[in-house]
Amino acid sequence: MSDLTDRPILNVRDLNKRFGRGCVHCRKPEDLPGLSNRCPYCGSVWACIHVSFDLYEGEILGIVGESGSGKSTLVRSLYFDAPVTSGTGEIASFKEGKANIFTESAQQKRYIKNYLMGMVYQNPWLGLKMDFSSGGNIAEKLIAAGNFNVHQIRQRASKLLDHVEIPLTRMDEKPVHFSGGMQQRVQISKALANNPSILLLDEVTTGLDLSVQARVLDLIRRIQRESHTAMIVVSHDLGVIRMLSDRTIVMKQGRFVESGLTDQILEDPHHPYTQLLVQSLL
Amino acid sequence: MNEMLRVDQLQKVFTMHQTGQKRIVGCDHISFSVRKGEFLGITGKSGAGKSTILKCLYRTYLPTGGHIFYASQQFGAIDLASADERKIIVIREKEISYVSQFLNIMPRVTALEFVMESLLELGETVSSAKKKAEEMLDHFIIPEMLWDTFPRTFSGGEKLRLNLARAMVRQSKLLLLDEPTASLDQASKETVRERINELKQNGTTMIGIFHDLDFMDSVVDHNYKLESGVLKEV
Ligand SMILES: Nc1ncnc2c1ncn2[C@@H]1O[C@H](COP(=O)(O)OP(=O)(O)OP(=O)(O)O)[C@@H](O)[C@H]1O
Ligand SMILES: Nc1ncnc2c1ncn2[C@@H]1O[C@H](COP(=O)(O)OP(=O)(O)OP(=O)(O)O)[C@@H](O)[C@H]1O
Ligand SMILES: [Mg+2]
Ligand SMILES: [Mg+2]
Ligand SMILES: [Zn+2]
Repeated sequence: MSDLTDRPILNVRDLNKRFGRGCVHCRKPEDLPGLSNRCPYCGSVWACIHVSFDLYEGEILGIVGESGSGKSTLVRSLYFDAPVTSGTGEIASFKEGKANIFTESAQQKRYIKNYLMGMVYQNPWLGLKMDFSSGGNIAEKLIAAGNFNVHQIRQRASKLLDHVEIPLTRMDEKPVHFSGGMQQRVQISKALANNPSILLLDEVTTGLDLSVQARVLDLIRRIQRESHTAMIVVSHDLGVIRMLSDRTIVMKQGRFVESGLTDQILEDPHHPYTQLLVQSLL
Repeated sequence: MNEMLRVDQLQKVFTMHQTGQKRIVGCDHISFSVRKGEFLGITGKSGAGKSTILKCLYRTYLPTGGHIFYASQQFGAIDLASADERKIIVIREKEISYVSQFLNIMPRVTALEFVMESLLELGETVSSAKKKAEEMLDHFIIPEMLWDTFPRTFSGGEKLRLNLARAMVRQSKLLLLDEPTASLDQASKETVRERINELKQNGTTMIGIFHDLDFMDSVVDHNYKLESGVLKEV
């Protein structure tokens, strides 16, 4: 339940991420000629430009935008998969929200990932060890979060898999043999293993057939209702965002072009790009 | 005094970027106020701007001008036209309910859960929410065999009644109704009237848009007409 006396559990200010080494024409995103975020001289890409936002407890924040707009880069930066070029991020439950998570030591970043965050990757091969059993994948996350009692780990793993409707008889199987929807569900249960306060979901339904998509979306809603985990849901599909998120941010070429209440973004879009996006949905 | 809502020079202009920056005026210079527990009805021609006003109050539309002063229980006096999104989310959860003219996308939860959610948001226990939700579904004549099914297969009238049940199961501070009887038969209309009267007795302030003038006259305290862009009491 939203409580306004709460500070945001995550706040990000002026996050910038450049891929490529840069040249005199693209040292800063402002230096780029034209509107593109790709430097025509050296090919570097500013995948996130001056990105700032707050995430509050219990809310689902949607991020929508076309392919290449920087959505995955944003959530993967938050999960420390690649270092940011500049910017600050503060998590209320980490050092009382007074530390910039992006400049913390590798050990502290590991702590944040293992104890405070969960991530579901666009590609299950990034999120799962395909040659471990499903139970083993979850156990790995539990051990990383400081659980060492083998019996308890197995119990918790079976509970998590049950929660995402993976039959317990398949707990010892490797996810490589699972369908795409099952792999996503194993990823979700792994991401939830440490009861994260922040869950990052990157295109969690793409590549799944429609009936499976619906079940995964139902599952996410159920998790949100039951645990009030704050989530960032990334999708290029406004339909997914409409179903899940309270507030939505629209991204284009590395920049946030518009943000608002999800129904307002859908029914009263202001930015030309958002109007185009919404039109294509209806 | 007992003012619940005061709308002052509300304006909503849409700028359509796909069609050469065309500007469409949804409503302009709209002013009115409603006291606590009153029901204000609005009529007017199609396209006059009635839904636009209601959507601005709920902030589905972001007003381009004017103020919407609202006496919030959580936040005190607040201007809904410019309030922070986070506050709007809380106010929607706790205080203001809205039944849209065209049905919201149907949720992927059962009809019963859909109505219960409205009470769970207010912090009611599951058992009390379930009991009240069942009573409300029953009141709006939704067959019991549908309660545990997904509403996406419901008929138009059933969907509308379900939305009404969700909005009216709770004692909102402010209830916004956009054509709540549009496609209902006489018996269903009667159930809506009954519930409106109950809510009114318990202090809910309401604003409703109607085409059905007889129905409107039987429930509202003030009757406003939106004509040529001007909103006037009749
Ligand atoms: N490791 C990388 N090296 C170089 N460029 C990259 C790298 N990762 C992403 N990019 C570039 O950064 C930009 C943003 O990519 P990103 O994957 O964040 O987009 P996205 O919004 O998630 O797109 P999609 O909807 O297709 O998943 C793209 O131009 C992409 O080519
Ligand atoms: N989201 C929107 N984008 C652009 N124009 C809009 C939008 N919503 C409403 N309008 C325009 O604003 C004007 C008023 O529309 P509105 O829906 O408020 O009328 P109404 O009085 O509710 O009519 P009806 O009785 O037909 O429901 C119309 O010209 C409409 O085209
Ligand atoms: Mg991506
Ligand atoms: Mg209307
Ligand atoms: Zn360059």
